[in-house]
Amino acid sequence: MENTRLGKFEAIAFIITVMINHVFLNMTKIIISSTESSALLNTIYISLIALVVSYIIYVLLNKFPTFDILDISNFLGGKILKTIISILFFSYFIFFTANLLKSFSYCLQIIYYTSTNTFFVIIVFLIATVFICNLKNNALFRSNLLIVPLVIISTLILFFGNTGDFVFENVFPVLGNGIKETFLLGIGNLFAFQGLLHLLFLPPRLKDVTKLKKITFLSIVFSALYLIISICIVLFLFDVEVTNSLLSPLYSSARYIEFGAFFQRLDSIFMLIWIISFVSYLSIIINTCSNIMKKATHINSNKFSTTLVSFLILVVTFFSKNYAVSTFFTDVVYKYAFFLILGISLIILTLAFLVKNAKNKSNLLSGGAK
Amino acid sequence: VINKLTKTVLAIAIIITVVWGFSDSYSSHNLDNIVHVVAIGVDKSSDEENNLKVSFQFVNMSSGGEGSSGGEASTIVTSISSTTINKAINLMNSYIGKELNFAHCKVIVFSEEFAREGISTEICTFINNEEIRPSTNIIISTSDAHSYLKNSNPNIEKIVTNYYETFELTSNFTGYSEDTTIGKFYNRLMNPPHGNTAILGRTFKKVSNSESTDSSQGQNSQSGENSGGNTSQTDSGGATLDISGERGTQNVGIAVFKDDKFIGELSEIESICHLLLTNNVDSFIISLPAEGYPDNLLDLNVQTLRSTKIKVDTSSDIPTINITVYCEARVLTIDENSNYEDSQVLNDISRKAHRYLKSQIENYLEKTTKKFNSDIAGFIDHATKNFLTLKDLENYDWSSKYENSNFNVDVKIDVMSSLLFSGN
Repeated sequence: MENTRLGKFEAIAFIITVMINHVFLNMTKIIISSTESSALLNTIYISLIALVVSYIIYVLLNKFPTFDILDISNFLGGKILKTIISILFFSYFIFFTANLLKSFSYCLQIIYYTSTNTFFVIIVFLIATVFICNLKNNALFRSNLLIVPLVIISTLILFFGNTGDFVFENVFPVLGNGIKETFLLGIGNLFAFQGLLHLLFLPPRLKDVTKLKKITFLSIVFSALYLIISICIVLFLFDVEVTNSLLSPLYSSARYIEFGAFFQRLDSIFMLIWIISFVSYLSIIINTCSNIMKKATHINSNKFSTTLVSFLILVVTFFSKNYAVSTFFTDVVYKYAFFLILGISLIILTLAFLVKNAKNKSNLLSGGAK
Repeated sequence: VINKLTKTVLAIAIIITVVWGFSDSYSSHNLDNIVHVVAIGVDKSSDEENNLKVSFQFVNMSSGGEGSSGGEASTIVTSISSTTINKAINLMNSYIGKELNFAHCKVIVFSEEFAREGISTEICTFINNEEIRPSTNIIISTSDAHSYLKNSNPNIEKIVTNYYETFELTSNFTGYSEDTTIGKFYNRLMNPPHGNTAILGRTFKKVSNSESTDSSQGQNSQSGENSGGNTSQTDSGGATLDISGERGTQNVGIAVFKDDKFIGELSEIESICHLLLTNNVDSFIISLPAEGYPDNLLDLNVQTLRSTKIKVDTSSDIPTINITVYCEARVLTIDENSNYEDSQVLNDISRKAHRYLKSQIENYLEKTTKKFNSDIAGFIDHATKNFLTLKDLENYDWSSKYENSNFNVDVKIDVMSSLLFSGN
């Protein structure tokens, strides 16, 4: 029998992977350019908010064990609401991932494949992911469980390898552009915690739903720690203006690492790890989108749905003509879309929670009356 | 059967796509199609139209090298006049018939004359090139960059890149120069209150040629100017340095920048003070003026004990900067009258070293404030914690106030002993 359910660690790795790739590509840049020297303070602040939001999600989801956001929408508003929510999540994941794929491929093209069209880099990624998504026995999530520690270790090496060049004073003035920018407008950087949206799809995929609390808490804590370490690396190493102009600040920080004259150019190893991690991320998103598609439609074939999702991602990558457009989409469009979807989901979860509570009460009352 | 056929066709299609898509990148990175540049020089050109003279240094692989059993690999320096760096690279690609690759570029040299007019455009161009590493050293040559590269033939290492890699190490244990890289330089360039520094390179003109050596013949035919042998040389930059050697370049001192313009230089002892304050030196040797010792000089090997403590007070319009340096030293000078087992003697030397280093650091600070008005030691980094927001920091206007800063320097130095012998 095929094993398709996620264990505790596989689920944690799944949520962390979603964030890692976002952080590597553009989140450090977005946070530092918006908050400047208060980036670290802002990151700690949004991490605490993410923990609170994840706890709320857990409490609301816990009322519906084995239900994901689509099932809950179905419970609350029937097929229409379920379809609307499916389209929202599906479009967001497709567009956001396509943008990340374009950015990552663009980054690779500049570094290694200067004479190759980005299209070919993108197509190689998508072929690899379609292949992975069709492997049986949860190979995707199991391999992801191996990759996540590798990425975290590489980031720690990046941190400790660069400490010699760190300017710790870059964290001052501690409030950066001001209280409003750090704490009020800075809430926008919660966008870094993409894993919050994926938590909404987790319960029916878990082997043991009772571990949802632990999974939610640990995945967000690890994601927050990863984000804090990444912000520290970039903030301590570069001036804000430099961060703003770099393709991927974490990759640039990898170029600074040299352990004596023997271990030089370690950025290639880091890039290899990030490529593997990105393929894993892409596969997870395609798998999630494929599951959404299967739930919202009558499609049952995994091969067909994953191929279709990959094709849609490929099509969407053509939308951003250049890097500036891609950055605009990430900084503005997807940021607002993230909050819109998170907000709608929380409203649906809360309403469903209240409806179920009310139903339970009336059932109890009617049972008591009998 | 149909399923198997589909899979085979799909696999072939994928292979063809990948091969087709990536073959161009493979060809352009093929070793037969590229030539590695180990150093770049930038000078002002005498040509009115093409105001930039860019020199490229290559290793002449046919003359030997790391893998060969023969002698040193000599270098080839080729120059081209152009309007921009990128155009110069393209012209050189065309001239050589191969693509220049900067992945092994270790050094970028600017002539002093060129650097005085500002180098921000060139630095941004280089940092924007993916192949150029952030660890590439920046050198300001007192003579023209082309001559510097021509005379940069290694005399101990087999290949020139090995020589360039020694800069970081030597700056750590001599304190005579700073390991300035393009990454650090660019970072500071983008952070205006910061002053900037670079390695100061000098080219020597040969005064006499008393001996010639066989090993130098090959490389000197390439360098053109310096025909080798033991030579007593004078510095074309002004100061006289009596150095005998086959390499016609020396990196002693630090080039000082305000914004992107070269404005002056630091001497050897000033460089030591600079590196002490920026925590970039592990050990160095100083000669204290001391009566009763041979030649009235006492050599000490000073080692830094911990990071220099810097506190900046910005409560008034005149910043007050408190500096405490922590060192320990060992006496190098020894003669028949020495007695370094006597704690009185050691304490006396400690006091002398304290006075000497304190006065040197004060002189250095006086020079950076009054003469250069450039915060090259990065005191601004220590001042930022006094402000809550960036706007407060901006309003304080550090750049204009640094010039009038007050300094309180304290040097905590203990002379521990001599080395192997303690004298009588």
